[in-house]
Formats: sequence, C-alpha cells, structure tokens
Amino acid sequence: MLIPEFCDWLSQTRASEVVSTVTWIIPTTQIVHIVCVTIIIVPMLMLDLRMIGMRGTNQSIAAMANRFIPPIWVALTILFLTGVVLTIGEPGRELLSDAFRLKMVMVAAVAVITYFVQRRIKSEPTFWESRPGLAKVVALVSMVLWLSILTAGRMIAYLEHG
Amino acid sequence: MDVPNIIQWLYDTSLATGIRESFWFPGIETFHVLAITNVVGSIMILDLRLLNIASRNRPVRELMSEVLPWTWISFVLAVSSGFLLFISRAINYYPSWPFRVKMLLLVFAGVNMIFFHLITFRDVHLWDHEMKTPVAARIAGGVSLTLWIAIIACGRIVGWTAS
Repeated sequence: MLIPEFCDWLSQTRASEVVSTVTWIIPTTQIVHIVCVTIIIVPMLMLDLRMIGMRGTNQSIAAMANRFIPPIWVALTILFLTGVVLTIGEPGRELLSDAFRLKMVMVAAVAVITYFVQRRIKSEPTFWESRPGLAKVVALVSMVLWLSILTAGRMIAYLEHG
Repeated sequence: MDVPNIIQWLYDTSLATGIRESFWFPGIETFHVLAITNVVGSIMILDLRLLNIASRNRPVRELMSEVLPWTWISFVLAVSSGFLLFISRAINYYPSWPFRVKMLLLVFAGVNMIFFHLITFRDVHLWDHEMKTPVAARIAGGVSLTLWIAIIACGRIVGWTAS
C-alpha cells in the first residue's frame, strides 16, 4: 500500500472521523504538542551549549544530562502520541507533506543522537568531557536538528495547500 | 487619536503591509514560536524547582542566575517578533478575545513575578539550598507555570481564530 492510498484509507476510518469532526480534539492536541516542544527545547539547547563548552561549565555534562534527558523522553513520547492523533485526524495534511516527512527524518535522527549521548554517559560519566571535539560536533548537529524540526513543524501548516 | 485609529494606522504602515503580504509572516511566526518556547521552557525549569519537583539539589539563586538571562533574552525576542506579527494583522488581532486574554495573562504573569521578587524572594537566603521551598514560593511557581501554559494555549487559539 502506497502512502496516498494509506491516507485515503486512514481518513475513512472511524477514528479519523472522530478526531476531525469533534471540534476540540485537534486544537487541544496541538496545544499539548506545542507545550511539549517547549519542555524539550530549552533543556536540549542548554545541554548542547554545555557540550560545546559555552555554558554551565560549573556542572559536569553527566550531571546536566541526567537531570535533563529523562524528562525529554517523556515529552518526546507525548509529542509522538499527540502527533499520531493529529495525523489520524488529517492524514493527507501530514503524510503527504514534504515538511512533515523531513521533520520525521530529523526527529528520528535527533532521538538516536540523544540516546547515544545518554548511553555513553551511562557507561563512562566523563565520556564527553574527554572527547571535546566529538562533543562539539554532536551538540551542534543536535541543535541544528531541533531548530529545524521546530521550523519544519510550523511550515506544515503553511505548505498545506502548496 | 484613539486606539482603533492607531491600530488602523499600524495596519496600514508599509512595514505591516510588507509582512502581511509576503513570506515574512511565516518566517517571523516561526521565530516567535521558537522565542516563546525558550521563554516558557526556561521559566518552567525555575517553576518546577520552586514547586519542589525538579532540580531539587540545585540552589535556587544559582539556578535563577543560570536560567533568567536566557528567559529575558528570549522574552525580548518574543515581544519584538510578536509586535511585528501584531501590526501585520492588527485589525484582526486587536478585537480578538484570545488575543486580549493572552495580553491580560501576560500582565498577570508579570505581577506574579514582581510579587515573587519583591516579597517571597527577600528571605531566599533561608531556603536557597532547601529541597523544600516555602509555600509562597511554591504558589509563585504553580501560578507561573499555569499562566504560561495558558498563554501558549491563547497564542495558538489566536492563530486559528484571528487570521
């Protein structure tokens, strides 16, 4: 089954009908979605700037990551679930959009990177301090991805009819 | 000149027209969203500390000096970009109730912040390192958290209803 057919099928399901016709579902879901973005962005940028060495150098990277990364997984899970609801409600708007597809690729990439950062710390708390070059590259990529994800997310709405 | 005239004048400026009729609007809006996530995301870190939920082993003052510059820079960027968005659709936004509620909630958040800094914060040296903050600090954190989430919700509603 190709994506356009899948969209047609999904949009005809009962679930899609409910999400798209009950007035409050999409707005409320979008608000929860954006609040979770808010929860993620600052800790992520702070951690990235810390790994680059520009901020908060009075704390170890491990201390900061242990404080920030676990709540980020919770927020990411809620983002994923609310994203699924929005997609069920308007399959074509999301799945057929380039901005959406690019966003999903970037989300997958940044999730892998974040997991990698956390994983290395678990096996060796000073891993990133002892590899400042690698830490800078990873943090920079993570920052660029988060900012691009946010932009792509906003663009889904604007490129809807384009 | 009364308020509706000023709103109309703002709406008619070439700056507002330029934003309204070009790709500048989505661009500025994306920037505004980014700025707001930074304002609220950084305030949340502090609110959760005041509520004894997160960063409990970090002194409150240290956390504040780390987080608040971030908040204020983001706030200035959010207000500037918000102003540009506002003038581009001033005649739609000015009468819209979600927009007015959002502005009112921003004032409330400001009052809550001033109250916290002038009164609750005065004896911070007593609870700076405490894992458990005093009731007044917890209330300030809870009120702030609630207001900022409501402000985001109103902002989102403005986008659907007044454009």
